[in-house]
Amino acid sequence: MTETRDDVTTRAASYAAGALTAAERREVEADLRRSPRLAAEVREFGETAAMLGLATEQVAPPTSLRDSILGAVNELPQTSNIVRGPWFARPAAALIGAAAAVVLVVGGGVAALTFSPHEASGVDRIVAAADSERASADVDGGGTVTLVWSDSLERAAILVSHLSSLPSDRTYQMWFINSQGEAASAGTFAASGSDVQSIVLAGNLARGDSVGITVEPSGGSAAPSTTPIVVIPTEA
Amino acid sequence: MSSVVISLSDAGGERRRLRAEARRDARLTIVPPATESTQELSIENLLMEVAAGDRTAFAEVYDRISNRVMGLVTRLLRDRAQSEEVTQEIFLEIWQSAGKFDLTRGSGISWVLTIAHRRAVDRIRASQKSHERDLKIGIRDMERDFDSVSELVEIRIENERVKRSMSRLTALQREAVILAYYGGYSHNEMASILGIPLGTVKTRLRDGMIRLRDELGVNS
Repeated sequence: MTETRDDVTTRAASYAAGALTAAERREVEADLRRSPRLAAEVREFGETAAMLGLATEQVAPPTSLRDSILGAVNELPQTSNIVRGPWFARPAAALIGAAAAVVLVVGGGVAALTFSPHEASGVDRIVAAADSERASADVDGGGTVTLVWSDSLERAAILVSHLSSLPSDRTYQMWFINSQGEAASAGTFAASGSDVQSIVLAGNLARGDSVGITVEPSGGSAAPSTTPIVVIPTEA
Repeated sequence: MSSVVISLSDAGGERRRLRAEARRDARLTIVPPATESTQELSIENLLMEVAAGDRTAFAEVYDRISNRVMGLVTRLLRDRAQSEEVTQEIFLEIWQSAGKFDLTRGSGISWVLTIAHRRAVDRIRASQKSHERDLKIGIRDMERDFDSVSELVEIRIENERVKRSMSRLTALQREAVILAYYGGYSHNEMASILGIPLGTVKTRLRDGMIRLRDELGVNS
């Protein structure tokens, strides 16, 4: 079945105007590589939409926001390159079933967790979301990781306890892993060894993603360079 | 060029214009200092430097376009605190994914505003409130949006084009474009707000976007 010219134009216009659902939007983005005509239409409508965007009244953000963003960038690795890792193909091998889940945090306990100052979307929002879910897994080498996520917010966070501290030239790095086994960095963190820590993953969670953690050289890697110590799926 | 009227509220624009003229005149005789030329890198060039990990370039991108980004986000979200939060998410995404910016896919500002619009719309749709927006609120928002678009374009020469282009759309096409882009409504929400079939919404929005594209002279 081939798309008519009208279909392609309709999708491109809807995409640029922002009228698609998140799922439809991802479909368009996936098709951009396959269809030069769709890509050309999206480009034209994108420039058109940008002119609508530039017609709005400008609003100056407070200086504190600039400080916060530039501060966050100092710690945030640019690791958006997508890679395919064969070892991600079967995350099931690394995961612990829901029956073995360890619930780290219940009720009011969440409020006591500390948040990194630069995180735009806190763990509390994810936990409070109507569709919030969680799953836990033990880590090879000790410790427990609980993933909390919300498909509607497209955000995820991890609650970490008793994870080993790493040498100073190593860091933990989190990854979103899609069903094709492609990994995109979700940021790095250092384990404190004993305390419960919460870390909001940088970037958006797509429905069906798994979340994995690897040990990387400090600063993080563009692509996972070691076997993950844990992988937690968000879909059974 | 006899009748260019500049209102009081465009005093900043007038100052900028005069400053730009002064600068241009100055360049006829003197070589601009190095810092000037850094400032004149295009957004596209800056984004490529950001992709290479240049934090100074990132700060420059922020300084150049944060007012634009915050303006669009505020229009969509209305709420000041949420708009700041989403603006932060947007700039962190720009930092992290600058490597994905591809000049062959469009301009730098279009790439940035696409991210901004998407993030703002996601925030609207994630909040429970948005699902409760009813017909009345939708229409009222739409009218207010169009009024302020009209107001804005009165005083800004580049937006004169947007205003003129918008006026070439049918009322129904304009309504669809405004609800989608400035209101953040999905196809389905628009169909329910307007009480028309989904297919009709898609067609109106498509035809409106085509008309706008052609009027604004956007070519591939």
